[in-house]
Amino acid sequence: MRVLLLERKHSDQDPWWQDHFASLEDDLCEPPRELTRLNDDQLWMIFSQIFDEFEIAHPDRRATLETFKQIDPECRPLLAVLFAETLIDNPQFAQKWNVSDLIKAILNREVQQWKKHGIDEAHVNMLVLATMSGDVSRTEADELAQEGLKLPTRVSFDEEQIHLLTGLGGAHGNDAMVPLEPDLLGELFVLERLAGRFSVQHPNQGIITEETTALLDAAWNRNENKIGDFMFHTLLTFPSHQQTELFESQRDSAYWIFAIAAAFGYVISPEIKHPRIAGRLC
Amino acid sequence: MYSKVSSLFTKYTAAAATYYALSPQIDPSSAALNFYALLAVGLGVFPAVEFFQEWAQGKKIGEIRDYLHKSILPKMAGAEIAVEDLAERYPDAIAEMPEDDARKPFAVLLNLMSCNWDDQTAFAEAFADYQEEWKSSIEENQAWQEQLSNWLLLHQETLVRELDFTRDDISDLSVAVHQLHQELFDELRSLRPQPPLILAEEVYNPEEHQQKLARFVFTHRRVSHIGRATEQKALHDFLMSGTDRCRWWMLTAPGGVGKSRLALETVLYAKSRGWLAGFLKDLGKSDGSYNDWEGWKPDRPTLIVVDYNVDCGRLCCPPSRRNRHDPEKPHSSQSAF
Repeated sequence: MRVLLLERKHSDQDPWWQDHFASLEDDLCEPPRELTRLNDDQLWMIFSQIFDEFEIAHPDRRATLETFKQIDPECRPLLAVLFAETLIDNPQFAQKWNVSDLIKAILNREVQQWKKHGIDEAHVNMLVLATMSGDVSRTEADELAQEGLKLPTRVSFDEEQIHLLTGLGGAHGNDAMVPLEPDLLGELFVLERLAGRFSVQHPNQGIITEETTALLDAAWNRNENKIGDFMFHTLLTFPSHQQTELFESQRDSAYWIFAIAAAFGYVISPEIKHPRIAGRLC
Repeated sequence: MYSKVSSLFTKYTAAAATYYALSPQIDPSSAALNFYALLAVGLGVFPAVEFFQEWAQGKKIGEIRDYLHKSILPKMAGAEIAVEDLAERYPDAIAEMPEDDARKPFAVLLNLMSCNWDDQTAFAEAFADYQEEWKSSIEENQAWQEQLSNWLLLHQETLVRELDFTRDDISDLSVAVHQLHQELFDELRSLRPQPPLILAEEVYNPEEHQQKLARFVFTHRRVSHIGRATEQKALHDFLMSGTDRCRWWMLTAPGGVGKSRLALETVLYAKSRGWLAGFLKDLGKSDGSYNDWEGWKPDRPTLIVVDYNVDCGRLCCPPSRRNRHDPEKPHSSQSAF
């Protein structure tokens, strides 16, 4: 039996690590290993494969890699792919972008496609909720819509829109919304929706922010583990994004709520997991 | 030669004894003496010679018998086998023979060889007819092949269309079988609890996926797995070496570096070696847990990938720790841990 854990960041002091693994024998648990950065040759192989896929001429290697490293000093393969595709649309790309700008450019192109296909805000909200707290079924969306959230009802639910938003086919089923992936794109998408951007119908940013904030609250009720982890990763990846302040405030309130719940919860049931969530958020 | 000499000597002695006994000019007194002497010699030598001849003849017979045993009898045995075979083929010829001769293989052979020319001729004629039939059959076959070849040339296009149709049918059948297999697998899984592991590999098709956001998801394996040979080797070692007990390992890196892709490649590697391997599936439960570990009995090497530690909640408390706290408690799935 082998268990492989994947995480963005590790500290021996993480409560969940302490909780589960710190006391394990050495032969049962390998020391955590951080993946290394790709070198220039490896990065260029990724760029080349994307350029070849779109059958376009390869741009200057040195300049391309230099620009990319300015955008993402970590030289991540996913961002290399995103950057290569951005270069295809805009070969003269030389702006001082950062990772958020690059992902936003990709998301923006996607949102324009959604608009062309007539996607409505309710289905985009369903995507936001799924991204924060896991798959949302048609039935659950309807129930939450009955509670006042702007989500597709049983009547307005449209399988075609689900398919277009997720980009996934019948093998995954069209009866539930899955999170927007890759994670980096999903996390920034939620932050942007909290900021009132990436609207497909409403010109009013305030309404988008309001609806998304309500979805954030609903996410806490749906799956506290998922939303806790989502917020943790989002703060880690986009620490300087304007909307993370909202997460910070939610984190503070969540901490006190869970800390109090934990105090009572432990008395009632030692199995309660709230302390882990509270610790994780702090 | 020796026996001839002894025989002549015996005959000479006998003749000499007779001559002396009947000769009138010999003194009867001395003649009688000589007669009796010669008679005695003849009577003594004759049995001796006879005895000697018998001895010599017996030795010769022994030699002849040995020769027969060594040379003739094996041939006789072969002849007997041949006669048995011939007796089946020509029962009438054997039946016509006298009973004593019918038991002698060489006699039977001689009889068959001398008396069955007609049968052999008939056989040779039948064989010749047969050859003619074969020849005409081969010629017919060649003509048919030629016709078939011409037909194939004429109907080539139709045939290709038919084959494509058949290929599509087989493809549909393959999909149907795959679906059925999946249903059966799900059914079996429900009967026999095991963690919900998924292998999230999907084939990337530029025509279908190039305009969809899912093209960036690691499961499509859109670009080659580049620059992770060292990590892959370490992961293979992690799987294949060391203790049989449960072992944990954590890979860390910022989002987008390729942790999930590396894990996917490791899952594929493990599966190719018969492991149960996959990503622990999000069951969507509010507490995010998978609580059927108690009923799970690992029946083969297993690799579980937990993508982000929130999923550790699904593992609840790792069984290895529970073992530590309650070593006395028997636990089926813990044995693997």
